[in-house]
Amino acid sequence: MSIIEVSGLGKRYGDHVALRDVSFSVEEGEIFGILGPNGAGKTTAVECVEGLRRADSGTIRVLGLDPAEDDRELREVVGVQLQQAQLPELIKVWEALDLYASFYRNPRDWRELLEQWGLADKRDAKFSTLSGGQKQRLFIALALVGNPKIAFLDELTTGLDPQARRATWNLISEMRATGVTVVLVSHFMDEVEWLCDRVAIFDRGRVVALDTPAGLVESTFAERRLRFRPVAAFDENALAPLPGVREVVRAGSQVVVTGTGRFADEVTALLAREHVLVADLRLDQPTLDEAYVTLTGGNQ
Amino acid sequence: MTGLGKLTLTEAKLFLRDKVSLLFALVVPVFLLLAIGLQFRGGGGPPDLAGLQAAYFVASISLALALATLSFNSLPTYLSTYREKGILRRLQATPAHPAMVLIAQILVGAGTALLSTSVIVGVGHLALDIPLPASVLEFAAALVLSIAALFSVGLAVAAIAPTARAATAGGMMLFFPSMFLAGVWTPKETMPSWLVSISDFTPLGAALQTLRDTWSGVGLQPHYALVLAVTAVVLGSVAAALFRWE
Repeated sequence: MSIIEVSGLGKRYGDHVALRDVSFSVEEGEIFGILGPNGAGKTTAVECVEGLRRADSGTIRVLGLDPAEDDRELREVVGVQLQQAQLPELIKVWEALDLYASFYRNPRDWRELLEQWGLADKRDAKFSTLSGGQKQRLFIALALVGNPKIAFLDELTTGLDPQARRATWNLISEMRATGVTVVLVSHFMDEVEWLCDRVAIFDRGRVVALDTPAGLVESTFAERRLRFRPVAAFDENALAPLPGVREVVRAGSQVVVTGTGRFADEVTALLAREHVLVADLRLDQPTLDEAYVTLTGGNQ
Repeated sequence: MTGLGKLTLTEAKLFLRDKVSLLFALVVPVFLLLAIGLQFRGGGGPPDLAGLQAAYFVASISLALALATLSFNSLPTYLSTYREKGILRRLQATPAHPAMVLIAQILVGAGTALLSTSVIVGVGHLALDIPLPASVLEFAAALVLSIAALFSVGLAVAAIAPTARAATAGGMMLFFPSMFLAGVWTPKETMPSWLVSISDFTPLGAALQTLRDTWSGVGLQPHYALVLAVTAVVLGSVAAALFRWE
């Protein structure tokens, strides 16, 4: 049973079509990524699921609730971190947590969250004095203070330095370990690749692909390339009949083998059998980055 | 404590922490009352009739400053900043309705207005021998009507202004003419009659007149009460209809 089910979602703002026929589902306990260029409809889709916006068409079920109808009930069980939301400058960290906890029927103990998210020594600091990373951690703590079953995190690590981003990723993994389902909106490939079990790629209001990060790369780049430089003379045509090999080309001193499936294993096995010494052996490893650019037509 | 109670407490703390609002809503008005009032009073002893009129005038300046600061400056600036920074939108994503912030802000503002008014009346009585309000009930009614009318002006500004900056500017643009028309810089008694008529129809002018009337014992005049009530209903509805959460 999916914890979130979205089907046929449509939303337009005047002439601009923000979402068209968007469908996806999120399973309980997974980290689900929503990836796409700016203006692809990621935030709009998530905000419809959160009940902050109403879709023009389609159906949404979150924990069996309809966000448009049961929004009060829904907000008890989902936690949200918004892309552009601040807190009053003069509010103290503990006051914000204590205040937000008071909105929920079964809140978590915010003191634990302070510890867990490394904010204990910032307990009495005013919001305006926090660093970018500390503010983000506070926002995540606020998203969790209502003891939600699902947490929506939108552009979580934008504006953070690499170290703070890594630290945040670790905390998100821990969050999942405590049984919270996470929906992560991002435009950072590495983040999604590192964190997400499955990813939906949005482009111009549609879902253009939905799979595991590895699956996305696999299906987008069926063909891969193996390159090497034979140290001694070697007839590269011996490689052509191997299973999976599509093409063998010599480019100067370098041999480039294009193929599918486990062709690279076959090639290296043959080289070993024939005692061919090679240098600079390299298998091109397409990344989610490349898959993404291909899927969204480089439409950044 | 849950929900609205905690929100109001938090907003009150933030209001106190932001010292500027409190300075203009409480400290400066009381300082003005003492600085000008003691000058008028001269050589001690209870004031004569003319002196008493002057004292009521000075006291009304203090009240005007306190109420106008809270309604035309603090309220629209706070609310539009909260909207601009996404604070209202973030609350929308919780089980709490963002309208609770509005209510909390109004409660904090009204509480401050009540405190400032009490302090001004008390200090006026102790330091300047201004009699306490003739009818506490009528004075309280006048204060409630005044707060309702003036806060609706502030809420309407917050609702209409597209940005926090525009809300602050809009509040300022209302603040100075209102203070003038309410007779803060030129006593109403020295204004030409046509200007007095205009003053009587402005929210701050009507508020001050009705506060002076109920303080000095003239009593609650229906004309001013009506102006305040109509302002509260009309601008309150405008604010409710136009207010945006994001």
